Amino acid sequence: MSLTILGPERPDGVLPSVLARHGVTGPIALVSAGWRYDEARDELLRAALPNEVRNLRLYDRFRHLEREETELIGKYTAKQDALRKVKDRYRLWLRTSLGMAAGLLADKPDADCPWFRQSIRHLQEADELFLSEARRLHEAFEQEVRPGENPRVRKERDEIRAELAGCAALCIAGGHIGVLRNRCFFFDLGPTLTQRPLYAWSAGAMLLTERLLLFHDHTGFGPGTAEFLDHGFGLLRNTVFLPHARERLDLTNGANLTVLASRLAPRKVMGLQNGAIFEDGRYTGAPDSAFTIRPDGSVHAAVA
Amino acid sequence: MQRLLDLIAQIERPRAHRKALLDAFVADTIFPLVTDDHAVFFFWDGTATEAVFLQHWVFGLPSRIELRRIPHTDAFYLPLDLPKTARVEYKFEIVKAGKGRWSADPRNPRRAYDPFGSNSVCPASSYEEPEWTRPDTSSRCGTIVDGELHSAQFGEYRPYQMYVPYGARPGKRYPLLIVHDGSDFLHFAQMRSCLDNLIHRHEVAPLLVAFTSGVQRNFEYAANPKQAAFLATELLPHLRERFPVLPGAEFQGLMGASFGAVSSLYAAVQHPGVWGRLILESGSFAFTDIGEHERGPLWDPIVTFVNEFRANPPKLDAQIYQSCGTFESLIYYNRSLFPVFQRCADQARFTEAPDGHNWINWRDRLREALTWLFPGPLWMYYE
Repeated sequence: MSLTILGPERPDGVLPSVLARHGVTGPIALVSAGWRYDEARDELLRAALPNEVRNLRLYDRFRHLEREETELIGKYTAKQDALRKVKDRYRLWLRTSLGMAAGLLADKPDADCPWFRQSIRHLQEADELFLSEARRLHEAFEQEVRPGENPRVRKERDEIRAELAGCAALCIAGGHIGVLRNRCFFFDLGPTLTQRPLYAWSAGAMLLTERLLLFHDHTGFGPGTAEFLDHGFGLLRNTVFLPHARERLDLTNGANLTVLASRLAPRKVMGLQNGAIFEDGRYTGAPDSAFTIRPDGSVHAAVA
Repeated sequence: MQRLLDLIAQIERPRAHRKALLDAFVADTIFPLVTDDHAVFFFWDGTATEAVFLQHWVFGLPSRIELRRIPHTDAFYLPLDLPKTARVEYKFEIVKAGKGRWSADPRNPRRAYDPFGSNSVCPASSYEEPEWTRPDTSSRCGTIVDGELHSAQFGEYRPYQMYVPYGARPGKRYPLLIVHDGSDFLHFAQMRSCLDNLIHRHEVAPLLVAFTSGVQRNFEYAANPKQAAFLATELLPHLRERFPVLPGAEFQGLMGASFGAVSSLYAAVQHPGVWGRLILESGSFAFTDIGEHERGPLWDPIVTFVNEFRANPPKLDAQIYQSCGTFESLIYYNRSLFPVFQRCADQARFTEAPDGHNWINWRDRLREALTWLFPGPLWMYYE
């Protein structure tokens, strides 16, 4: 199984050239659930690729279930609502704790200061607590509701697996990471990910890591508070991907980068720009298209 | 400024061809002349003029400032310090044959409109019109639905316009924002384009926005229990019946500027637990610490309300976005009220902008207000 991670594919994508280089000529299975109601608008990708593109339509399948399996989806929604309530508490904690870490670093710009280290440990504990609560809720739903035993869900999952069986590769596009993650997990895509060459970009790339970090420093009301969304599939370990990091992060703010990368350590924090390519862990993209952020806040270009 | 000083020096030379000099000057100059941190206002229409005054709404400066005459001419100028990101709306009062009349600056094509007409606009050197306020053909547009309801409070039908976001899906529910002076926000603050752009870019959640307008506006919005009851017990139930409004105070917001901000806050106090999101722009929150206010009887209920609010702030289960222009006389009241909001509301945020009591100021704050109170899924999108 080969795994290729790409940076954002917009405005110009590298997927066609990478597939050609890899000799992938057969049909491509596409997951574009992150595009939500635009899931089916994959004409640009179809035009750019010589391959046949088979869209797995995860978003559309779920919408049908919403209409037809109301009891099951009601329980699913209740689980998501419970997760949102946990997240509200997590956010309250983060607002205070991030301010403390930033304040300590502003007072003494030393990432090795024991007080700063302690504030980072508190943040990491909160992240772990949130993620373990999320896992507990997902597992309880699986055990109590057993969605895989619902005939309609089983039928959809079987169709997806059958569609995949005839494909030479699987591509997971970016978009809304929450929707993408939830649809992929709901339709149990995990076991299929290692059965054929896998290509993923932006939110799709994030999805393959252990945990999904949401971040944006340039919202309408100023820097947001970076927070974990949930678990990913964990195919890629010890890495946190930050697509469009140059546009979304204030890379001139070394203190913020220090807090962010220290909090995510020991995982490697990797910014992905248009043109970034990792082929089975080896960087083969354009020189400036991927970079790491180290716990001291420094930024380093990815090297081949 | 140097160009103007050069012009004045040339004009003062003996036998100078003054009209030709002025013609050449106005032909290749953008008015007002704006440099780093000041602006020079200029008037010359080629006819006999006795005096010219700058009429503006910048609190802290005399509201009527006389322009200086360039010797031997009917041209006038006035240099004024201006913060770099400021924006000033103004008119000229031009005195000819003993009579003064107000006019927009004839040499400045930039205008801002309001229900009373238009003003000339002087943007300082670093002010930029936010690009998200302009119509963008790539943004998917929401629709406006006209509606009306009979109000027992007012004993008549009240119309409204409802903005329904693009792609609103059957079965899905959306947060609701009710806007005071809604028709003016649509016309003078380009709020429809702002909503289209901010929602399309995922910065603001898909949102239902009801634009309402008062009939006896100043009376109805001045801390009036009838208006508060109209909003909570008539308009809100009506809208919830006809549109897919998400239940819960955190999804129900009120917004207003000036008296509209007073009405929004008053409604939230009168009907606790109903309105969980407030946008209060340039609120007319006049109060007195001692003695009487001097703003006229229309303000009496407002002063009574704000005095009581400051003395005994009620617990507000709401997130409040507050803004005010630093050039407004209301800035003092707003600065005084913000610490009270911080204490009594769930969360409060206050922005001061170097602008005045006008629609463009209120428009320019919409992104910050809406993204904070109704954040969209931008956070979630990694394309």
